[in-house]
Amino acid sequence: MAQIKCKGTVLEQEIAAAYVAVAQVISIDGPESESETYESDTLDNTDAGIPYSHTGRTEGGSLSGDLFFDPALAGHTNFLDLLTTPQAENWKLIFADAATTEWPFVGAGFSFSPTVALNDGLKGSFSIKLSKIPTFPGSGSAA
Amino acid sequence: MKAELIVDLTCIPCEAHPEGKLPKGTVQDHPEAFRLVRCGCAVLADAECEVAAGMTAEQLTKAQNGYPKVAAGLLPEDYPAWEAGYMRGYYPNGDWIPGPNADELDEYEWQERKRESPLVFPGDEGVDDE
Repeated sequence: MAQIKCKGTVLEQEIAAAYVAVAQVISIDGPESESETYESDTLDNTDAGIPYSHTGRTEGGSLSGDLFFDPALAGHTNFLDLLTTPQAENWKLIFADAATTEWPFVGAGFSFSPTVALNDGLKGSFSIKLSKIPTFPGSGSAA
Repeated sequence: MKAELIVDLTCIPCEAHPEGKLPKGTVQDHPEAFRLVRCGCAVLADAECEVAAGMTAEQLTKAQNGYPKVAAGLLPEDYPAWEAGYMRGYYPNGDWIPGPNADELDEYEWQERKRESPLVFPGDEGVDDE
């Protein structure tokens, strides 16, 4: 058991059949994957609690984050290429633990928005819509 | 189109690379190999790649010098320390992995502390007036 620092966490994008690290990332959120459920209550249920059941499906969700945006940096223009030429792409989130645990996933969609503010550096927010769910170590996956 | 890796990268395991590893020196033959060059993790390996990358020698050098910092997951605030050779990334506990000039780190930290301090240190008086 350990508390893992976030410094050193890397997001990698597959480019030309090789995973390449994304530059100047300052925060990453998600992916907020969630198993799908439905309300399974019935009229003859005497319990006040509303029961739910799972559908057997899991929504992969999205991975989003912020970075210091450099419009001329190749790694960042690769991002923008996903908007001009949308395509599914492989990604990998690598944690900064001793085992450098990896969560590979497939990104189906992508969004990006630069943020310009007088009192801050030029930043960009990105979001990657997952197709299926990440490959979690030791648990298998639908990826 | 070909580009030769100058750093170790990974890939999805395949017949050619069953362990999913692309060691430094691997030549990637791919229609988008120029992107690896632009990111600074490969050098040009044929004329087609050179044309597609469209980079000057200066741009190539800058990209190649920058990629190791990115691969180490460096926070932008630590870029100066990397460039000074004080560190080469982070241990899992967040501490810096010492760089080639880590021995000079104590002096660096001292200068940083002095710079951020409201106190005037002996010997430093009048520095700002010069």
